[in-house]
Amino acid sequence: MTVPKGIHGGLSDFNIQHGFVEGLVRGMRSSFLQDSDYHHLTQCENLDDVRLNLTESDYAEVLVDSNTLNPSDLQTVSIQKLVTEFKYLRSQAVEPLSTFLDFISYEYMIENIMLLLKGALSGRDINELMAQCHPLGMFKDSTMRSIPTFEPNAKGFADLYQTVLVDTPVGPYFAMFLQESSDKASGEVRNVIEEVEIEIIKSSLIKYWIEDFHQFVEKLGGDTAVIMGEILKVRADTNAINITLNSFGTPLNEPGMRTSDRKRLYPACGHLYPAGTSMLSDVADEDELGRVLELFPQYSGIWNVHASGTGEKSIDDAFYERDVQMLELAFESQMHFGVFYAYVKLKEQEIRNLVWISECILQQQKEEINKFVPVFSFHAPWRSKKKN
Amino acid sequence: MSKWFRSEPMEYISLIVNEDAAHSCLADLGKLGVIQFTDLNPDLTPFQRRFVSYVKRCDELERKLRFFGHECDKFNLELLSGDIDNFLEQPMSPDQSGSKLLESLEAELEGYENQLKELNTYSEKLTIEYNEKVELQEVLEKARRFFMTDAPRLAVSELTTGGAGGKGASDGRREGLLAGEEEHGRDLDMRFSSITGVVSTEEKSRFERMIFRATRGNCFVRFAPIKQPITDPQSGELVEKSVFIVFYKSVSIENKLKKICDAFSAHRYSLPDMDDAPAVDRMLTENAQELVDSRTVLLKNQDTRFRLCQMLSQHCEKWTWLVLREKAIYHSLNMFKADVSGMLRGEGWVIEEALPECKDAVMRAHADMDLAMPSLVDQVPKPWPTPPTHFTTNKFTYGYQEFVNTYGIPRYREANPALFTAATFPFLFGVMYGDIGHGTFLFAGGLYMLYNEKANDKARLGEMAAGMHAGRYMIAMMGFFAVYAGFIYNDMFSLGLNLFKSRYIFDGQDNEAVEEGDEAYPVANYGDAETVYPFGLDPVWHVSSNELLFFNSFKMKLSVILGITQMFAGTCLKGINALYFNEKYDFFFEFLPMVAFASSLFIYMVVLIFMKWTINWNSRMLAATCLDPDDEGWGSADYQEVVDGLKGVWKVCDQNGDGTCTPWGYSCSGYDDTADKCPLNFGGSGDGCQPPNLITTLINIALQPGNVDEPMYYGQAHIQNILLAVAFISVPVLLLVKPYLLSRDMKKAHETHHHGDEDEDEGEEHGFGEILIHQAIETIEFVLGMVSNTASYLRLWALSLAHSELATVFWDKAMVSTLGVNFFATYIGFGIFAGTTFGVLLMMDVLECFLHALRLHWVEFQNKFFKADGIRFTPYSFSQIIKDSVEAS
Repeated sequence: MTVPKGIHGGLSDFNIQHGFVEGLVRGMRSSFLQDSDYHHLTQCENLDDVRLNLTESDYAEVLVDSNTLNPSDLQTVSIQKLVTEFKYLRSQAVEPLSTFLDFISYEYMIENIMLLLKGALSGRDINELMAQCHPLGMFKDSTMRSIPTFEPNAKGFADLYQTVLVDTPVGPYFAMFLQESSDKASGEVRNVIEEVEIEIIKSSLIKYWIEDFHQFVEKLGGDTAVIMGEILKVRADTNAINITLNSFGTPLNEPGMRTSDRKRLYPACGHLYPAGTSMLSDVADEDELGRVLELFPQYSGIWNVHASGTGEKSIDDAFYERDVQMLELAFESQMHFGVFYAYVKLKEQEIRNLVWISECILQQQKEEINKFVPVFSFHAPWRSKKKN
Repeated sequence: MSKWFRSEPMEYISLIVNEDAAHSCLADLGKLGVIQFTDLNPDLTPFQRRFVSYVKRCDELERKLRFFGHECDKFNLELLSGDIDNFLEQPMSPDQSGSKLLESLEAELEGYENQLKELNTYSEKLTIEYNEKVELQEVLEKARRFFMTDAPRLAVSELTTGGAGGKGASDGRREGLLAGEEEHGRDLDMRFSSITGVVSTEEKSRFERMIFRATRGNCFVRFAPIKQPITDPQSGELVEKSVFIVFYKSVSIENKLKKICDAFSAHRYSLPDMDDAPAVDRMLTENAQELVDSRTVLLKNQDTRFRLCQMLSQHCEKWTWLVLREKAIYHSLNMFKADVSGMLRGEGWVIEEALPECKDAVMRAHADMDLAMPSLVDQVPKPWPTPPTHFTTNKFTYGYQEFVNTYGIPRYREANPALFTAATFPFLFGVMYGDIGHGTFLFAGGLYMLYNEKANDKARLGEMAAGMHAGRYMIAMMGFFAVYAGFIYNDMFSLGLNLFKSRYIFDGQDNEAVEEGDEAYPVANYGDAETVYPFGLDPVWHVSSNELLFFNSFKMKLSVILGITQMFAGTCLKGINALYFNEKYDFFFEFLPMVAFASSLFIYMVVLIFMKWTINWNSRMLAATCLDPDDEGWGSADYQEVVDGLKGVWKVCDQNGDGTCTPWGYSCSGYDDTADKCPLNFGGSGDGCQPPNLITTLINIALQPGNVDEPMYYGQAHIQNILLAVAFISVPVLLLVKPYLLSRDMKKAHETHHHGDEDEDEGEEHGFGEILIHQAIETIEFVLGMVSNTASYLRLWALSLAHSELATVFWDKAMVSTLGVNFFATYIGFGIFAGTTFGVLLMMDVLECFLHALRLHWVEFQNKFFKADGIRFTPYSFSQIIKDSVEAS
């Protein structure tokens, strides 16, 4: 992962190495559904209509062979489409862009591992679990199948790392997690429930991933460091806030665990780090969390959405909205790698929207149907606000 | 040809058809392929339309057909492809169309699909069973061999190590593995448990590594590859697999190993006790029997599937076409609007000529149905929307029409540049590429493609080959004109051809006494028919020292003449368009000033070039030369008629100057200037007896009006002044008159129609500014364009020069320089010559000349008249739809 300094990101040679791939991704940008498409989709009476509407869009090809449509099928095929596109980009990319693209897929690998572990805890069938895994983070079939065969305790995880995960790109994160927990735990018996344990592992792995990714991006320098760095910082902050919020009412919120365990899950980058995260580690309930976030203007707005509690929007929606806004901006400047991350995330948002719309249609929840965050929309709140 | 000059006239018709007969109507119309329907329900989304359910059913059928196609692919069965025209010619009986056809097709295909799916499921199941048998067989055999051959050796080595304390270095590895166990538990009955199974070879090393890690090295793994690849039941692909056998000691390891086996989807097979040889043998024979049985069943299943697919492959294409046709019909019906009860109304463009056919088709469809309600096909009252452009092309004109369409579709009924391009494009290419040798190759290539025309029409070609096939006539013509221009330049691989015997001779050329620097003389006097080389240029120029000067002068002049002719033709087409569309202003105040401007400066230049070529300068210059009447040059036949009355008769003067006279009898003083000596009286310093420098002459028309230094005819200065004045006057006319007249017309129209509508007023003033700006752009483009485009045509000369120079270099450096060395050098030299000639001249230069000829047409020629804002006529035609889908697949 060593990257020679200054070989990319400059006006002079970016296009020589990454121009084609960037051109591709900018071409793919035009495949996003437009406001009129969303409008038509929300007018649909049943899922066949949805399918008919999508035949005018880029999704036509992947839907052509499915004779009946349901939201989960739609999700599968559209994610598959995204993955095909991503793999094509990846196959065209050269260093350091190829590593950058790999970093994007690591997140999905972590999620898949966690999904498998969690599934194994509740004793679900491995084939069923593998069907649920995100295709972007797939390992070899045999690796995937080996993961849930280990016991969910400290020794099992160590074995899991040594036997299976050491071969995978996310192995180092797992090693860091094991190292840290053995440093800390050293014989002390943990009394957290296993489900929570899994969540903690996931949060730590994601934290290591964000930190590693951020470091990599910083090393790349140039516009990539500025734009992608900002995206990752916000990502880190979002994680920190969510971890805190979700810990309320779990053992993690116990005074003893706050600094020892919860604080360790906050990524060591982002706008909240270090002052914000150290304050977050003392937070005990939502009011205190709100008071901390009050100090950070970029998050106070989002927190207010949650605190107002009208139920119209969840804090997740607010974060999504903010993400979409930021990711769209990544497309506004050139010669950086942020667009690739932005493309994947925005497409994911679009797929979420499609699934939401089709779910609403399926369950006849017409009044809820407009609660999605359109991508590159002219009616987006941040655009319409300006107009007014 | 007149049909190709202007696009087909179009009619905008509306047709009202009975809902029941609509389908057969459209089936007939789609066969004709002469009508383009307008969408009358643009505000309806696809799923709100009338016949959407039928379209959906067609989609479903298409999906099934694609499934069949995939299945046939698995058996490498080619889909039987028929002839599209034959398919369309088949009459459709009423029960074979519409929803009935869809229903029967649906039922039929559904049946086949289920049958195929069922067979596939069986096949999967049977393959799994069969694989198990095969694998078990392999495992048994491999294990037996292992225990028979390897295990005794292990045991022996065990004994020897135990007994002799570590001798036998060749068995070191096995010793290391087993020694530890053996020392501790030697007396115990040392038996290892083992797991046997089959894993895919691809995963072998990962599998081994995983086992090693999981057991921390406490086990012994052996692999043996299975020679025959095994079919994967789901994908049907062949997979290489290996038998493995793992020895281990403890139960916990066994659990781990089992898990790993599951993860790698390695099948485990339990073995009988290997020491019990009869049991193993029995199991082997039993299994072999079962294997044969399941193989038979599997083959039978495969055979059934193959037959079904074979049958499907025969019909698949026909079905696909049927479905495409039905889908196209319903798509078009979706554009219709519901009229009064039970009637559908559609609108669309139809080729005027085909209107009766359309009417017939609709009538016939209704007559067949025996319906009381009359149908109606009628013109829609004007105004019509902009009509689309359609040209009926044939295989020759198709390529050239596409060539023009790539730039822009001609406006409806405007002059079609393709007609002229068909002749001028290959010609201008030839001017640039002129070489007999290279041209012959190109021509032969073109002829070869024409020879293979029929085969290529049917074959599925790659993108590149298809493009060449579409332009086959163009390539052949380009080759032909390259040969033609090559003959004119007398240039073959940069060498001249002495086809008609040169009209120049060197003194002593018959006894090889010519040296460098010698002069060649014409074979006869100037003006004799004998001195004229019959066709093209005299080959003597290729050996003359002023070769380049001569060719450059010739080719430059040729380029300018061809260029101005083509541009002027383009300007004339503008006039013809103006007349055709009855645009008086365009004709009088745009076309005529343009013609005046172009003629007065540019056509005049061409006239001067020709004039300079036709004047006998030998004679004229001799007329102004002082000669001694006693010399032998006196009385030369070169002196011919210069002015009326001086009929080439030599006239001796009074010789009161320096003793010399001009041929017409002027007595020279030794200090006379040309004007004095010249019998002509055209003015300037040359006075008509000196060949002018045309470039200076042309520049001075504008820079020094009224002053011609070296005139060619009487009153040249005067005439040039008039021409200059015409050119100057034509520019403001071009710029101002049309906008003025247009705005006056608008005002008039405004006054007569509505009074005092202030909003309209503003709009019009805005309009006038726009018109003026538009006109200014057009004027500037034309005036500047005439100059720069003329210069642009010099590329004809430049490319031709580049071509001949490259050919010269290749010939000189690769061939000539190696010819004298030895045979091997010549061998290599010819290789280089042939390679560079092919790569550079036959490939790159063809492309380059093609590109430049293309540019000359698209820019220099077409910008004079071509609007290129037409809409392409895309008729509703079955054959087109089917062709497109065949190409796309």
